[in-house]
Amino acid sequence: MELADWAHLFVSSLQHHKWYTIEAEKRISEIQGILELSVQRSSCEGDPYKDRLYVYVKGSSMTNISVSARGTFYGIYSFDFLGLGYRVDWPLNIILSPGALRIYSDIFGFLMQVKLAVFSLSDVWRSLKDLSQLNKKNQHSVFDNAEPKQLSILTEMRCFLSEETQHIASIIRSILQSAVDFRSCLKGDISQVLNMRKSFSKNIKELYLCYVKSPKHGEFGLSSFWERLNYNDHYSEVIGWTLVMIMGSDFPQAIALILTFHDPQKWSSTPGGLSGNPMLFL
Amino acid sequence: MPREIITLQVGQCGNQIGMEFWKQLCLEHGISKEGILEDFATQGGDRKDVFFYQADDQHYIPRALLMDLEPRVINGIQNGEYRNLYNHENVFIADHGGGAGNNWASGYHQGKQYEEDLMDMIDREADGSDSLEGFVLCHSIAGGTGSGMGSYLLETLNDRYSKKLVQTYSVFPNQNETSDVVVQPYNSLLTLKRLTLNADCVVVLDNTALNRIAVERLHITTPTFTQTNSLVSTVMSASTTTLRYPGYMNNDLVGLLASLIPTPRCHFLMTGYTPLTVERQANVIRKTTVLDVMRRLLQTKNIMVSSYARTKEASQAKYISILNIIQGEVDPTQVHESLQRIRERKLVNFIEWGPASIQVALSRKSPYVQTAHRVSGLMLASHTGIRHLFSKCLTQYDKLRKRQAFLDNYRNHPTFADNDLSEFDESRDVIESLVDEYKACESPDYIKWGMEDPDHALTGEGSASGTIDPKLSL
Repeated sequence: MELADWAHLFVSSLQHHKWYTIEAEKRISEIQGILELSVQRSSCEGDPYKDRLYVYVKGSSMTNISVSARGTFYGIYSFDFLGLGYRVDWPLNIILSPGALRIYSDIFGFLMQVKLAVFSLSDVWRSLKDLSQLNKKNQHSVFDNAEPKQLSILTEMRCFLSEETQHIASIIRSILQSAVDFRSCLKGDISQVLNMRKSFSKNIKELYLCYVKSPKHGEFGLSSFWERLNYNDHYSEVIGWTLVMIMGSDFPQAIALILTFHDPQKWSSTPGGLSGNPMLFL
Repeated sequence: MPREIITLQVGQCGNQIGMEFWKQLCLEHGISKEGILEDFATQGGDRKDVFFYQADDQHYIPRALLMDLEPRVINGIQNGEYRNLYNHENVFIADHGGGAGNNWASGYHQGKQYEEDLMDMIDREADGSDSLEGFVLCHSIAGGTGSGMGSYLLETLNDRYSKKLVQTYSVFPNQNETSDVVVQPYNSLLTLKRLTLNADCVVVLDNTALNRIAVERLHITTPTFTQTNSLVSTVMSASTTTLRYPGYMNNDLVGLLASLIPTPRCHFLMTGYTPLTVERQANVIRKTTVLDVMRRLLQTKNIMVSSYARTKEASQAKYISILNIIQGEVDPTQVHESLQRIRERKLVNFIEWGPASIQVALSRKSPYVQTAHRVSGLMLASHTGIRHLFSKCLTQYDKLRKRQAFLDNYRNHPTFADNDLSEFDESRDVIESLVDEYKACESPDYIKWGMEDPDHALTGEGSASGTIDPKLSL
């Protein structure tokens, strides 16, 4: 079970499944069927305990089902009503209590959102690749396409599920959602892509601000997450630089520089652009 | 549900490295030379069906197609130890058996001539899979069959299976030695065009570097083809481990490639592997902590593409992406620590125009292959330094072309008939713009560079249809 390739199959089948029933009961049994099929097709087929795995509707979210009943998959929240359960007998249930299992289920829910986002990005990558072969290259998307890297790291960040980090969790959810939105706006016009890009940048900036305020030690937590997300200091340089300038003492000069930074014409007139940190020009 | 992958091995080199790859896969999955699953291998928890299909309960057959225009290598395989491994229907040898005479044009046109036979085989194999993910092509770019017929296949696959991924393992010629193929620069250039336009990912196997590694790292004075091919098969099998051993991450090719290739044209990958051994050195034990492995993977001496470290420009070279596939028993916290250490020491120089980091995929090691090392690692990386390899191809081509040397051999074939050499010029333009694009990646302005490129040198074809108004960018 721990190989979890069944989870990969399960999420990808859910995403591509066409829903015809609206009733919660029927739908959950349909999902149970998908789960069983995924386990069967995965390497966990021979697991003697595989039948203990089941899905259920989370208590408070009966209403959500009808919202997502509109048909096909539309966002990372599509399956938030879904819980993953595991039947445990006595005496194991003393340790694996219902509470503990709920935590597992919550983690699963989050990982599912990450998977949905990653799948969407892979789809985007594929379509862009096809597009570029048709020489209808959309240069803007070049940048956003780098997202899978960050998203794959997210899976390690289970700590975001705790209460104290709700704010960060919501930022990350928005980032994941923008990955999914990105896919849907491929068919639309460029302004949609730019809007999505804007919201992505806003989220990253917020995440950076949280990082700046967070304690910088500890094995887990936001600081180590940010460092992995931002291995080549890309975001810190782009965002951090803007912020430092604004907070710095030499305000007018900073503004002037920011304007330069945001003026593509001026920027590109320097051959090869300005290499290194723009702060050197102060 | 496996996402199946079909392997096409084309030409002498392609069939040789393909054979080594299947030998390695058989070892790792506990499949005998006859394709029978060994008794000890029934509970492996691995996914054999990505690369093999089952003929019956015990019998596994590679999803491989062997193609050549001359019989020597394939006959060797069919008379060798592994003669019963392959499906005999999946073997194509041209009736005349005369080969392509190291001529790309000949290989290409024979590809066209035999298209029906070749595509029948491919279609049959594709129909036999539930959810085909893509194709892997093994070939060399210097000779006639792998380069020419390989090129034709790439174009045809692109056309017929546009939704499938095409990855290639392409062997680049040794540029230090005078080759026995004098027209190798022509063949390489023409093939490179197809690799640029018709493949989704090219794993570059540079013979110059493979030889250097064999000599310097493995201390073999005169490396044989078998020895360098074993390096290749190591890389090929390691790069497919995440597909062959189930896990939560990196289960399919598209996931691997999407994270390595942020911009579609820069899809040429370098590889590095550590610890390297050949059979007689199997007992040499090296320290293999995760940090050691990851650090060694970044050293140029372990990278299987020639480095041009002495050139001034080399210092500008940057990594676009890195994926380290670490095999063995590894504690994830060690990975985290190693990444931090590498970052602190600034051992990697990444592009500045987007987020980039060393991605790590942890994978299992085959329980059936005994190694002296606890941990081993493969690096797949997109690095702008690879453009020097293409530049070198261009220089060599220019030299030959200036003298109008050996062009008659090409004029005999339809593409170049009536002295129409535009195919050469077009290919040259494509490679030149590829070199330019990699160079542009070294600048922080790469993203804008693409948009503001007035001559559309970047997109090559010069169509404005998909280009955005630069004013929209901010």
